[in-house]
Amino acid sequence: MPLPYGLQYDVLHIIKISKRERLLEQRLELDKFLASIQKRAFRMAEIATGNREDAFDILQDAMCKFVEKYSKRNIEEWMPLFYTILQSRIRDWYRRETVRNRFRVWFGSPSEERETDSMEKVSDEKMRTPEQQLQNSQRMNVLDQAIRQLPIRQQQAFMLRVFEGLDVAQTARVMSCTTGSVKTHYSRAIHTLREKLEGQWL
Amino acid sequence: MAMTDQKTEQQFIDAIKHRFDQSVDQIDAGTLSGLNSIRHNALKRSEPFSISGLTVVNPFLKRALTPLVAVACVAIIIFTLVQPDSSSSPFIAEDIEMLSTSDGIDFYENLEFYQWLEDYEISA
Repeated sequence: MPLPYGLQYDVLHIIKISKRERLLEQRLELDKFLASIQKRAFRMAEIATGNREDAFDILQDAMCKFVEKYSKRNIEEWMPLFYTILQSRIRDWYRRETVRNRFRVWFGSPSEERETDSMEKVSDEKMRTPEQQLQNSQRMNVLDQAIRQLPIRQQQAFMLRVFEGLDVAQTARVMSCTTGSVKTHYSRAIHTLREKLEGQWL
Repeated sequence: MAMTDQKTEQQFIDAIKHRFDQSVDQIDAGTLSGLNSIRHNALKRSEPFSISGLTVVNPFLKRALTPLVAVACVAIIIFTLVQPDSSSSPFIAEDIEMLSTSDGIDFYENLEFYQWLEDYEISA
């Protein structure tokens, strides 16, 4: 039996509202997820590229692509999916950088100087002394450089396993390779890093 | 021996992880603000499909409808401009009505005569 017109309107209105609420809820979840990973993802991109601006670009691309294509997937799938996109963007950056480096060799490199961001001059909230800050920063730079010098696949395996705490299967999914390859890349990365850093870190 | 090596490796990994976590916590305000703005920009991409406006419009449907609406508008404009003026048409509604009535066409041919006759009878 068809519903009276007024009731039909009410039902449609309720459906519309519940749909909008669901979308709002989904957006909040998405915001929460992206906020929870943004800093770590940025640091990973920064370590991989060695450049703040490139890290921002990579992260922006990855977030946009994730929101556009995969935000409708289950929340449990978000983390590996996001890192799959991020790692793919980092690999693209490496390919472009290889080509750029060839041109740099031919035509000479541009000036390395960069403009300093005024926000970088904001005082440290945790009240560390300049010496402590310098020491932390130097140690971090050494680590960044050591990781950056690893081959890209070892770098990815290491960062995903150690920094993000993904297990072997998740890392294999993100890197689109077998679990055996992940184990090999990870083990080689650890071996190289230990050789380079162990004296300074333990 | 292997156990010791494994332990040392784990300590090394823990130390690196700790240093990484520290560097994440120490991200400066400028970088954090940049990250937040990137996040908000990315989230805006899902907005037209979600909560903005009163109606929920699928962006793909919207993309498909836009050319259709444009074609319809052009068609209406062309139809309005090219449509023949009804007053200049040789077949007006009155003609059609006349032709379709059961009265013979002779009646209309002799209309002038009937009008004269009526005037004549009144004056008489």
